[in-house]
Amino acid sequence: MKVQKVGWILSVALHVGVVTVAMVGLPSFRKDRPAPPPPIAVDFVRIAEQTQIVAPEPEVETETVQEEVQPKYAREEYTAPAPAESVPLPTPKPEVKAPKPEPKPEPKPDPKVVERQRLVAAVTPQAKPKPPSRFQTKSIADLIDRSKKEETKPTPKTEAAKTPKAEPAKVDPFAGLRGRIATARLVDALSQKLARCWTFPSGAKGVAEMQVTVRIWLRPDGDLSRPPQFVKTGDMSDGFYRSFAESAQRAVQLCAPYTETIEYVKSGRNYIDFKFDGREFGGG
Amino acid sequence: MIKNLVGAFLFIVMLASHAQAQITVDVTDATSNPIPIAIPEFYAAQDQETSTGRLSDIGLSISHVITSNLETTGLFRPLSPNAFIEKQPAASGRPKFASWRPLGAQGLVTGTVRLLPNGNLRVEFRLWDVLSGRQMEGVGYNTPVSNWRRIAHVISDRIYERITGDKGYFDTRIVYIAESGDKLNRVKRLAIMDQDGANQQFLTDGSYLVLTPRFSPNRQEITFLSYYRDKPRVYLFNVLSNKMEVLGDFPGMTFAPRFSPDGNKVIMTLAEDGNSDIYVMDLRTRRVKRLTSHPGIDTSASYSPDGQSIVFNSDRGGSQQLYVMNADGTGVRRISFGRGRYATPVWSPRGDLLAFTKIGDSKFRIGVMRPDGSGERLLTNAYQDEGPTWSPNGRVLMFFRTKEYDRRGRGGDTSLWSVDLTGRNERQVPTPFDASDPAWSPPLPISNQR
Repeated sequence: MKVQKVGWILSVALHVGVVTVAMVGLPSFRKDRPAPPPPIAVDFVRIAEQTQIVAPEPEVETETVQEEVQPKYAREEYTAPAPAESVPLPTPKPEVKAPKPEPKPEPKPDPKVVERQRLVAAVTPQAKPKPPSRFQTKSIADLIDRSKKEETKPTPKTEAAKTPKAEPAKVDPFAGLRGRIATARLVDALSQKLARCWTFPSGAKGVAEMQVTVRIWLRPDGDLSRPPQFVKTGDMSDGFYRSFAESAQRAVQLCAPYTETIEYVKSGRNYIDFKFDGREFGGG
Repeated sequence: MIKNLVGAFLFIVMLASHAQAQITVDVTDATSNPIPIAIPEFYAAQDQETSTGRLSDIGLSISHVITSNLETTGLFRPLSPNAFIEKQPAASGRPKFASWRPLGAQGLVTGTVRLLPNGNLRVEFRLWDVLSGRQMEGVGYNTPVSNWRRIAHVISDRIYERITGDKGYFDTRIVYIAESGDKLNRVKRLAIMDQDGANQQFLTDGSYLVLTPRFSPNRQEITFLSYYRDKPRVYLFNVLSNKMEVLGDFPGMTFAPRFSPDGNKVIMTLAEDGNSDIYVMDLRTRRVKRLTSHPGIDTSASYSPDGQSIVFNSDRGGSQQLYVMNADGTGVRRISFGRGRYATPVWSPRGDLLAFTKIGDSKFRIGVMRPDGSGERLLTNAYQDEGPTWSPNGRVLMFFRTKEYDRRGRGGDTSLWSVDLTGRNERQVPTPFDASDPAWSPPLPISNQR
């Protein structure tokens, strides 16, 4: 009896075990989903705080005063020292400059001559109206032919006395042309010069549509008389455009001095606009 | 006749007046020379001992990391510190620009490091335009001292962005497959490092195979293929929380996973019964949608940054070529028609280019083309370059290079390389082991940004 009882208990226990395993274990076997592999911890440190800091002010005054002065002499100092001892050639320049003031006082003692010159100068404008009276009966074609003849034929000496009056009228158109050619040459030279100074980060987004105009003011020696300024700009809040515009501003500063503009400045003009265009860089 | 005279007069006046006009010069050409920049040692106000070394050493190391970062871009030319007159100009004052102009420096970075009372590090830096003497940028950071390297990357990013207008990519990480052991029985571990090769760490122990890791474009999450317990599955790993999970169980083999631009979906290839097609899984609902259904092999899918289009490669036309389709799987069109085969296309984060591996002429090369297939350019020309990944700003590509076997059977080494979009600035990225399959992270998060 006891053996039967034990058998019953064992049988019930085994059945319960089998049912439990079937209910709990089998679904997870069926899933066959391996647990993810154990990850290895990675250190990750956050930056606690970030603050904007303002440009220092106190030393600005002393520094900026020096900066304004330095561009004049700094370049001379850096170019001059090395050849100064070995090459005495640059020294003639001051010698040429020195005698200049001396001749000036000499003409001063003759105020009458100056007055005569003034009178002559005052008369010359009156000579200008004369040519129109000659041209009244001739066409422009005749005029051109005549001017050509006048150029080719050596003018008789008798007319030479009159030419001083006629010359100013002739010089104006050709001087204009010459000036225009000289200006074109200057523009070309400056464009090439700036291309060498302009460093622009390749691959900038939307560069093909970017343009900026920077104006420089010139001193008689071709150096900058004041910091360059933007004349026409786009959206400076756009980081891409701002870097484009600033690269242009750096370029005009880097290219200074503009010694090729000395004649240009002599003619009474003192600033130049540089229009930087990014369309050539749009090809990617 | 009078008209003619008036015309002639006006012409003369015009010439004369034109000669006197102020001129405007058009500048349409530029040099591609790198910008000269001076990065002197960061000034340590008090040379104290910190948990990671002397403060002066940290200042020096920060300037070195910034120098290295900017130099690798090819856009900057850091000047040699030997030429500096001022060795450690503090960030608190204005530099003497007259000392920097003769060196040809256009940019100058000054910085200061000091210890705060709470033991944290305070790093301040300023970026100066040397020619105009103007401050372009000035930022200070408080951080644990051990974090100095990240600060150097963050400062590099600020300088890069301020000068180029583009976001920097220095405070980022690269996840890749570190390969070691015998060539026929490689141990492949998932590894992560800073973009410059520093801070190498392993994410898996090498007991199971891992392949094709991909970073989420906007979260610190990685998806990859793993043969854990000999079953190929796509996994998701969060780098910040160190949590890993199986993306899902699929009847066949899943591979080539890649995130959508918003990070909420993973697009992948599912191979079943010998056919590979592209599927997308929504990570929030875990629902899977089939996008292609073609007897050919469709794989290596990559979303456009706006999430509207998908590029993938397929041999449905007879050879492996690039195709673009709408995000819902419609409008499939072939875009590559050049000689050779095309693989592993990746859409640029800027959206303007696709990078790919071109197979032809017995070489694997990295190239780019516009999304319509035009303007194809090959950027590398080595024996076997493949698996491109974009920097977050879309200006640099990283890829892996396999060395050609020589007659003695030596070769097959793999290494990571980067190249910019010009193809001229190609550099090896240092790794402790052979490395393949790189993936670039998005910029790391910075807290308390003001």
